[in-house]
Amino acid sequence: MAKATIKQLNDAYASKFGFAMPEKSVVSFDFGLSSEIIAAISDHKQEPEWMRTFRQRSLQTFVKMPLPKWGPSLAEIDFEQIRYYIKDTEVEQRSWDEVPTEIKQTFDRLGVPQAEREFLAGVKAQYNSEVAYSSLQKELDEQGVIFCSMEEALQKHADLFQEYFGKLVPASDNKFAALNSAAWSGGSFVYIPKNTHVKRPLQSYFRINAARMGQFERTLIIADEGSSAHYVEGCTAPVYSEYSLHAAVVEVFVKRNARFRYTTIQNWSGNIYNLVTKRAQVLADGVMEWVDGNLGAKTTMKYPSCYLAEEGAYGEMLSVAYAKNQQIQDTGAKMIHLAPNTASKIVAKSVSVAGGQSNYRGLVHVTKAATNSKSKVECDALILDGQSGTSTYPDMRILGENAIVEHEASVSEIEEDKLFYLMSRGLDKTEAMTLLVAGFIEPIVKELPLEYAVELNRLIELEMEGSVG
Amino acid sequence: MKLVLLSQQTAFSLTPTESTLYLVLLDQQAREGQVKVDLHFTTSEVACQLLFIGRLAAGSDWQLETNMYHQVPKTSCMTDVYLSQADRSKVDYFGQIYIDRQATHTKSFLQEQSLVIGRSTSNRSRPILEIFNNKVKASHSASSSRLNESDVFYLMSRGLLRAEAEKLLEQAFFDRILAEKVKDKTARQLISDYLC
Repeated sequence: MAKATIKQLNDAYASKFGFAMPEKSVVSFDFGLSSEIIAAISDHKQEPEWMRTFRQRSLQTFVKMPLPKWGPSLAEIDFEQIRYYIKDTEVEQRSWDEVPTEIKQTFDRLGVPQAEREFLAGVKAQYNSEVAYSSLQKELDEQGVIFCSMEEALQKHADLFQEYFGKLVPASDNKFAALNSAAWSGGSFVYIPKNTHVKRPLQSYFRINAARMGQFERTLIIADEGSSAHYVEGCTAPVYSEYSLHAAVVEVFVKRNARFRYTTIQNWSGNIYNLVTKRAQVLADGVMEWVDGNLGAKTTMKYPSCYLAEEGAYGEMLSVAYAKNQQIQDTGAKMIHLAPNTASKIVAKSVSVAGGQSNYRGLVHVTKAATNSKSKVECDALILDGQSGTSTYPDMRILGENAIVEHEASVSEIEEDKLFYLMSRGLDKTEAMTLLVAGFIEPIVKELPLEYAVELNRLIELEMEGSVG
Repeated sequence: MKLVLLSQQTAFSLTPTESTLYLVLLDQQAREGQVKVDLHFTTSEVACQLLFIGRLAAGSDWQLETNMYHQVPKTSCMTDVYLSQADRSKVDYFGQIYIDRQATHTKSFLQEQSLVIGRSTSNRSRPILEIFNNKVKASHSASSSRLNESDVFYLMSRGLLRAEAEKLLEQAFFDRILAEKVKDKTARQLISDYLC
């Protein structure tokens, strides 16, 4: 994309919800990726030998692996122009009062409500590469729930960490998983003990604030047998004119009879490549739900997956994508049925406007062992003008006996009669279209926690301004 | 609507200039086959239907592909693929609907249904939509499911052998398609003869 177009994108973003706080990093390495920089990250984090080796091997894998040959072009990413590690605060903050003023201002501009800030007693707030704020809630402690930074988990819960880390998403999975494995920094570690039910959502706010800075956070979640919890991450990023990269890895282990929901509201600014690998393993009678809202970024490639590994496991994906101003939202889901009587459901909705391109790319694989399995996929796309586009690329492979697999996809524009009705009631065209878009994505939005649902609706409203009519 | 029977099990690249029903009846005896049909819509006001009917023999291996390219305004197409699968049969279906930026007021729909009768079958389905303007109506659906065991049980309880019950339910599956999807009398006769 031309630089002028990028600037235009960023200006539009800045006037609505974009901004950049001055960089004030305590530790910041040079641009580019090398064995020395990876070693320096390990030194700085005082990592054990196995993690140092893991990082170095992952770096070799990253170098060897080619960029994906399918999907949107990633050729513009210059890996030598990215800074792979920045640490804003030297030690994790123990109370909100101790959080640096700049970071607080960032949260102010994000519109984090006061009530939510009070909630931050249990929030891991990712600011650049390091967890900036960490204060475990008393009730989580009492329940034996571990909710901490990955760095802390590596030091304090080494055995648990090593048992699960990288087991679902190995470095060799794809080029960006390899990059993350080599340069990971920050992210959350969650362990829910057996038969423990966490009532309040575990929340995390991710931010990128430095130019040309890759954010490679890593999230590792273990929901032990019979437990249940809800993890929420929300992302916004301030404006920069250079390309930035967000290549995260999320691994979720859902044990027998456990239930876990992972909600993401992603709103990166228009200059970011958002390339995320999210994967869950679900054991017998476990339930894994991904809820995904993708609004920002230059290019998003994200296909959360569920490996339904034991009988009775269930996986679900609810996603909404909004593509505008040449953005490419290439999102979807993968459901891999590996055991009998497993079930999955994918509901994907997308809106394309002002030259945006939304793609659904998904896989339902019912293996030979997965007898009596069921899967249902629904994709609905809305195109608001003649400059935008939408595509669906589903792939269904059915080998198991007695499987029932259904896929439906539809593409439509805003219906003229609905628009006419709303306008006849006094709404202008933008308001009417915004309302209809809100109605279109409502089945996903209603699954979000209230504050996130409000934020998503507000973001859609802001995005629609000037896009139609 | 004109009827064209694509009787050869091969690749076709067609540019319809009038509304046409293209019918493909897959060879019931074949052990393997590849059929590809591309329709290029370059004339406005053309409405087509592409209908695949196939009873896939035991152990057979099929690769099917349909590509609908809508390049001008006001064209429409309905692609229907209906298959029944006997033991160890394999099918890999790729079906694409492409609607170009200038092909406004296009309607294009794709439906694929596989009825699994036999054991150890394999089914891969890739229904693709690529849409580049908003004045369109397009959808696809694909499903694969086994004969309903309770239906089989009911028929067997009335004295039918399993094979007879399965045959009857397969017949019902295709009869419903004939009733809902095929208006042309000659096409109906061809399909009925194929299914006998």
